[in-house]
Amino acid sequence: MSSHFESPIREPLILGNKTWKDVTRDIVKPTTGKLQPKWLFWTSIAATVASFGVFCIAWEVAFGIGTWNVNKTVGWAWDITNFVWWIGIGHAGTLISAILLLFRQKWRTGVNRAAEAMTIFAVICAGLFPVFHMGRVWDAFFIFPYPNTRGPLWVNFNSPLLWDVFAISTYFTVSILFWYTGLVPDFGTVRDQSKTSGRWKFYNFLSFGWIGSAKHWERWESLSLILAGLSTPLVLSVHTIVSFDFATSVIPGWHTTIMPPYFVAGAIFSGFAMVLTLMIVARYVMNLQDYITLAHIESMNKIMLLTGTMVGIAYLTEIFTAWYSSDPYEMYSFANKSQGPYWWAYASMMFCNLVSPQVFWIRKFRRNIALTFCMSIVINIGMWFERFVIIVISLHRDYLPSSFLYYSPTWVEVGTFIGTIGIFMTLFLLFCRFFPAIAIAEVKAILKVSGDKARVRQLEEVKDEKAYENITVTSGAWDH
Amino acid sequence: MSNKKYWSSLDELNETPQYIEKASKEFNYEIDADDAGENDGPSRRDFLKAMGFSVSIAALASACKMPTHKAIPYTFDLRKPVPEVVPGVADFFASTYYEGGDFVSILVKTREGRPIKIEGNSGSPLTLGGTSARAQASVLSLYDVTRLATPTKKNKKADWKTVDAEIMQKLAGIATSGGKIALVTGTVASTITKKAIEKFVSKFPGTTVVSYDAVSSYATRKANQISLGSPIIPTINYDKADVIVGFNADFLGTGISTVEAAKKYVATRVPSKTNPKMSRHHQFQSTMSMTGASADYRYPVAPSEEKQALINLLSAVGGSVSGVANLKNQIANDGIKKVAAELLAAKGKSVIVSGTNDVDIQLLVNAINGVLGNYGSVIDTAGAYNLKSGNDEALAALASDLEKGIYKGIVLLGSNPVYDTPYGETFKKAIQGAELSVSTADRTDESAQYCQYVCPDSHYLESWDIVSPKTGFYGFVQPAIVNLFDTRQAQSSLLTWSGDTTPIGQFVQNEIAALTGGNYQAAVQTGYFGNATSGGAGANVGASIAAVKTGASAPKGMEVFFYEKVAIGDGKLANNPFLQEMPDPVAKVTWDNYVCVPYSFAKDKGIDVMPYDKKVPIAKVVVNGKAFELPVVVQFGQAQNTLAIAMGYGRERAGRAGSMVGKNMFPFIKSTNGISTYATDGASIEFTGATYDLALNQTYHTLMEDRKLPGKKLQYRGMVVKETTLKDYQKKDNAGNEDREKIKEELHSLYDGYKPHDYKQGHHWGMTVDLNACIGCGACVVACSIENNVPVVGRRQVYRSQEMQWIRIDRYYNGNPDNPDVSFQPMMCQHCNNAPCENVCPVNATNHSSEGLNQMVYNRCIGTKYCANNCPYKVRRFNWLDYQGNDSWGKFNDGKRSFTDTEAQSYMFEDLTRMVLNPDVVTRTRGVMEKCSFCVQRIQEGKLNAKKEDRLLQDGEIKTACQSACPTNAITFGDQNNKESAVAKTFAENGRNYFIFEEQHFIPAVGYQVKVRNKNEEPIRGFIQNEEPYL
Repeated sequence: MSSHFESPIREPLILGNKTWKDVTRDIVKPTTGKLQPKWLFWTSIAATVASFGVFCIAWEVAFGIGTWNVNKTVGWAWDITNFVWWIGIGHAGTLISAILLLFRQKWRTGVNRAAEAMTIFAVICAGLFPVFHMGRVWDAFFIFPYPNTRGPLWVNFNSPLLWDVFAISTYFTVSILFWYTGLVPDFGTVRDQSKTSGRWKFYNFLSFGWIGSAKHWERWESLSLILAGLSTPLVLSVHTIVSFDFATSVIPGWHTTIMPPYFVAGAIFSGFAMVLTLMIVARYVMNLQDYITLAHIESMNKIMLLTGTMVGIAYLTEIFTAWYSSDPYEMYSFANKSQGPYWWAYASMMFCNLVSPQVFWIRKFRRNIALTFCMSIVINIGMWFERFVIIVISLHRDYLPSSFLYYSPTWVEVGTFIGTIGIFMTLFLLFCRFFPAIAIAEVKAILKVSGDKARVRQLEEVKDEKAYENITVTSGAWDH
Repeated sequence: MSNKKYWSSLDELNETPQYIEKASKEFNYEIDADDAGENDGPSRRDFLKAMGFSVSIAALASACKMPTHKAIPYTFDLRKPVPEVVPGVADFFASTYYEGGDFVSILVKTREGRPIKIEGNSGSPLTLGGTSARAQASVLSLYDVTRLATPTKKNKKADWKTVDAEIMQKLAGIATSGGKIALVTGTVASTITKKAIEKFVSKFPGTTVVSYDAVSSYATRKANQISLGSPIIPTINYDKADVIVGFNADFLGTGISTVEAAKKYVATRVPSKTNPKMSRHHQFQSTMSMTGASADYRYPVAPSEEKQALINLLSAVGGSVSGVANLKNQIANDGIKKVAAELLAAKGKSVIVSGTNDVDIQLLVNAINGVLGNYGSVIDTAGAYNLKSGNDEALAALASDLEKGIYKGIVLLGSNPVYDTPYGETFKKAIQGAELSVSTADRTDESAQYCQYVCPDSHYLESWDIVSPKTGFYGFVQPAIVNLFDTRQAQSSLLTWSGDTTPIGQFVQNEIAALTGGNYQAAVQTGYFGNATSGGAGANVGASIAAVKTGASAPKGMEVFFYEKVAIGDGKLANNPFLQEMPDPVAKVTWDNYVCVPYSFAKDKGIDVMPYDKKVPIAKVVVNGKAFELPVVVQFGQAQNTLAIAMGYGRERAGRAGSMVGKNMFPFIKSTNGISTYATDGASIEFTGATYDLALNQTYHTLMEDRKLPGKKLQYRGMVVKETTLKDYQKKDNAGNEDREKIKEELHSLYDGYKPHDYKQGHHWGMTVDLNACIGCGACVVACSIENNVPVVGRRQVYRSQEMQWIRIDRYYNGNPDNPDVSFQPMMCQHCNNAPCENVCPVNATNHSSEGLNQMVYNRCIGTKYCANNCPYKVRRFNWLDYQGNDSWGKFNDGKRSFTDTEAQSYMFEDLTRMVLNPDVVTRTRGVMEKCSFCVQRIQEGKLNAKKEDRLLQDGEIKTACQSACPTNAITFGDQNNKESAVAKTFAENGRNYFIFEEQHFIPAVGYQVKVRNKNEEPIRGFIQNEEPYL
């Protein structure tokens, strides 16, 4: 795909003088090797946590929403907070695959597969919450505009919650198609590396009998491009529509036009943080340091710095708007956020999302893996608090002072959230074991342009032309 | 094709004529319709005939067996034949609710023979159709599963024959041996009870009758004996007073005949354009009472200061009294001077009342009223109450006699002295040691558990009775249903033991004839008889204050003030979950009693005065050397150095709802010279450091617009409670409501295509709520819950803010937190015409009717709760758990499980309790949203009635449950399209009318009328003296 000229002084995106064969071997290895006890251990822990989440959901469905502490004033709390949080996390994958593709960011090839997988798993976790926050989940099908004999009784197209249904299901469908399309040639590669017939058949089935003919490649590239084109607006639309849940309401702290860009920036912010959390672990565990390099981490840190600051500007704009509106309820809402009973949530949000990412102005910190890992966790906590602040703090004290209330979760609500983390991790670990975690075909495509060897060759080429005589390459990555 | 022929018989083969004939018929066999049974004995059909006949005869016979002298379930007239029950059509029975100091003329609404609702009897000259929360809730007590189903002997089931025989034998034994019998009863306002007691006493002359009230007004009677010459409690005509001064008198909430008092009180409390006048109400009080909350001026006084304050007041109005001394309490001191001046200006048109059970205080009150000439004009001594006629001294004497063991027999006539007197232990021992102990309690209560026999009384809705609340006026009590259990009216029991076997219905009928104005026919129809208004006799108050001892000693330690709560009262109705869950009008606490501490005290001790998480500290209180632990609630407006604790809690054997709720305070009631004193000193309080999850209904007590916002002046935009002073109101009738002009001017939609709902055709329902009339009593809250099958959820759920009540009364404070002004604001669905809830529902489960109702489609609701979030008034209620036992998932929550911390304390699981459900309103399942429907079932009924009679619907014909329950007519419902309707007129013409959040363009259908306070000062917005903002 990418074969245009690149400056030789750019950091290489694939280290270790890889050949195409090396790439195949390195990436396929985790899927073909023996089951690692380490993997079994972590997967069983994740599955246990996931089962607890399922138990909590079952408990809630059996006894009612009354097992949660949501109340007459705060009708949404951890449920929708978690929903928005997971949906936000689910933004990075598609952004990397689609938008970065359009911007010709080649570094995305190292991380896009895992990021897309993460997106899909995050959307699955997110989707659980709007479903199970319903009082009568067994009637959940009422939200679909299906032909019926009751009139027909139609859904309410004015409701942002209905728009959510469409937005999220569309996003999920396109994301999963895009992800799977990318996987098809790689499944072919894994199949070719398989040593048992069962495994061969399994991957052959998954790859739809991929044989790598020119026709296959041509169609595959066309489909990828079409899906990229479809996904691009979705990245922006999904969280915009999620933000409409709040923006179109009348609650002070919700009813504001800044919500869509604010939510999209926040989603990308948290999505990249989650990608980093997972990738930093994965590159060590699966020995993928040559494919997910410091350059990748630094690029993602830059995006986090940008989006974090955007989110911070949104926070400050909201405060200004509240003051400028002269609306006592709006003003009170923001005074209450910073000084009310939930000041700690607001302070956590401000610190984690606005203050802490500013360390990434410094290159040394951007390239510090330990710090980046900690920051990715901090940012995800901060983004959880952001949703909590928007949902719970706005709701708990809105218009009538008589109805001002406090909210704190029950074990069922906390358990459901932790359970979704378990579901997410279980799915991700399964993915790492059975699917190629890095897009083999796409990495190979940039190997000749952005790999180690390519850089040396490119440098020699320009040296030959004596145009860049004085350039010395100092990047630490060279020493690897 | 072959010509082969297959034959089935030789006939067919030979084609005999018989065969041809047979084959030509389709049905070739004989049908004999009558043969069944003739040959084979009785057939199935005969069997069914016989069955049907015998079953219907049996049913008829058993149905007809109902003796009419026991009950008249479906008739208004005994001489006419019993009319058919029309399914779906309610029958109303005129009756009377009475309990302690309460008297309410009521109509009992029955459906298919079941009483399901209490309505006010608007014909009654005493209560004029008003009701109280207790009267409303009383219908649920009928279906209380804790009630005894049979008489018991030594707490084991028995039958009436055995029990009666044994009791009568023992009574006779005691009588012949010359032993004494104590008959302990509450107030006897019932003529029938009086008669029955007379008969009992004449049969067993060794009987001492002691009548006592758990919360007594005996001192008033005693003082009046001294001042007026007879031990009466006179009627106070608040409607004739220009100045009302209360001293710890909760005459609207827990006094005597509160509904009557509220009706009179509110008559001069609502100014209008044509009559811009209102009375002025001053209240000196130890804690913030419901009555005090309605006052224009309040002065916190400690219980020990009350007497001195009255002495000073008597002197200030010109009475001669010694011992005048300035109070240390500056607010009260200044107040006395101000009040005295106003009283002098309103001589003969003012009244001083005190609820304190202290002879000296009542004598001083009488003297002041005498000096001011209020007897005859405002105080009517001819209209003397029979309510609260208990005798404290007799009770004290009985207690000391019981100690001596001189009573061989103890008969508890509906009384529960082990629980609700300070002599609980004495009674317990006496009952256990007596030769005969009988209780007529309807359950095995604290006293009955020790009695040999319990002869359960019937509920008042199953009983015949005549109650005389005041001299010359009678309330008629008739059964609205036959006895649910094998119970018997207490009077009937007494009569039986006295040897009179007249059926009680007949007895009552005979009795009516003997009373002046008594006409059985009329009584059955109207529910009352006699004369409620007297000529207004005056009285000459002599120099009775000579007996008053002046120069009180200074209180030691902290003072404790014991009070009754509006819902629970003295604890008799503790097992009524509706009352337990009704928030206290002032403190907004449910399901508990607690120690109220003053604001300044709380500040000093560092207690959170607005515990947003409902976790309040627990304190150890020591009173009279006895210690107990209770949660602490900060009560704004409470007197310094005073603690206040409600009586009526801590029942041990009330039932599932009422047992083990709070702590019993009756053992702490002091007896001073034989008179129960509901205040004491020498108490200490100490915080244990633990916290308690309090079932608080409202955690934030002042108004948002009152807050100091950074860089902003207080502004009137978006005010929730608007108020003004009478002075300003007299100048212009939209005083305090001026911003509304600007709001109306500025209201426009940014969206061109916006079209408001069009209600030109048909009805457009609306409601008005007058903030001046609302006294916060909570009758509407209970009435609404009963009418609309709103479940009770229990303490834990209220703590978790998952309560279900459709209407609530918001209470706000403003001014000095040590002595704030109070506003009540009933809040229900506002039926917005531009409703924020409607457009967010993804499944269209909430939508707008063509008559302006915001309606819920329960079957469509999937429970996203989005509508509740988006409701600015927060009036939507969600079925968090299965409260009604109708879960489509089966009974996961059977109301008894406790292995989750989220258990629903449901009270609607028993089949018996479910009989109270209104069949016109569907019960909701778990997981759906609900809210006020403007009583749509009543709207439909009203419209249908008008249609059937082919006429226009009249204004006032449809009354919502809250409206009809309200004792002060604060709520009015009607058709905005009918320009002559009260609602339309208020909306169009009343300058006080405003809509909450009108500037937000929700276009609510409920208009509120500005609260007018009869004050000289401008209203203060928010808490002053409040250094830190309440965030």
